[in-house]
Amino acid sequence: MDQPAFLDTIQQHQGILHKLCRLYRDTREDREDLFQEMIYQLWKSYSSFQGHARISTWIYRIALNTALADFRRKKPHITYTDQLPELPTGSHGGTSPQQDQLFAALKRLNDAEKAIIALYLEDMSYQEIAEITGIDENYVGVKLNRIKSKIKNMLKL
Amino acid sequence: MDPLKAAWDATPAPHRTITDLQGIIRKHTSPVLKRIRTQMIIEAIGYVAFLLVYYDFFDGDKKPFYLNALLVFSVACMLANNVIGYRMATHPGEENNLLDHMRQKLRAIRIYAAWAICTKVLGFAGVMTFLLAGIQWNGSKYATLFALALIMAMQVYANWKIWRGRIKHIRQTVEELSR
Repeated sequence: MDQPAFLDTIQQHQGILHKLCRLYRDTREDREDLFQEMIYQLWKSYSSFQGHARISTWIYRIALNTALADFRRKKPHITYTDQLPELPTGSHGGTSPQQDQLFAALKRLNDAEKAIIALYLEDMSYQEIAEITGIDENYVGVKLNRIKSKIKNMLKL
Repeated sequence: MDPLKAAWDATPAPHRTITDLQGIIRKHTSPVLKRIRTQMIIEAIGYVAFLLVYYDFFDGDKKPFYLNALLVFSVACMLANNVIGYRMATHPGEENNLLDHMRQKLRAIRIYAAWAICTKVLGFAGVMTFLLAGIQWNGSKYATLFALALIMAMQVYANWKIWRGRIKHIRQTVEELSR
């Protein structure tokens, strides 16, 4: 297997992998574990990648399958309130208050909604979102509108 | 949604070098699989050690063959349960979209949950049948057996609750994607 090509590809697309880890896991340790799990599963599946789809489509599919299907994941007990917490102004752990609020809102979505909105925010077309998630292409727009209004309500946009 | 997209695009992510990524794939495993494998090995050592000593320690030679066979079969089932669980965790499902993958996972996890709980109950029943065969029963022994059975029942109930939660979570994702 062409390891250098694989590593180059992953290095280019690692941003979305990190964002998915942040979306689906709550602690730094769990995110690191998921990131390594994604890389491992991607490497294991690399030989079967036929090149029929875009490489990014393939990466997102494996990454999401890995993030969602881990039924053993630890779930810390989190109580969500109706309002998002007020965030301090200025940088917080390398991210801006807007980014922290965005992720706080995204984390309140269910697993399926998180996947759809993440793909949308990554500029995937409806066809690609349908291909990765298995949702009917005509239905992707409907779902996205629902999710967007849910987020707008949370963020009071 | 523009502010959302802008915030998403600008979210900083840790940067891993080629060497870091190479280090991850060189391990030939992931932290999750490593933990499952470690637990599996520890339990397997325990089961095998029990099988090696039970014949002398628990008078296997004085008990009929079918009871010995039942004990070995019960322990082997518990061992097989761990191996199947590990195999299930290693499969990435690369050829499927998310919905199909989650449907497949839901089917597999339902079967595995039933199998895991049945194995626990049957394994316990098998081991207890072997240990208690030919025993002279009295009040305190009945009380001990009752206490053991109660502990086992509580464990099975806790296990069932965990599996029910996992199944429910995956089923909700499937429903959400199919709606």
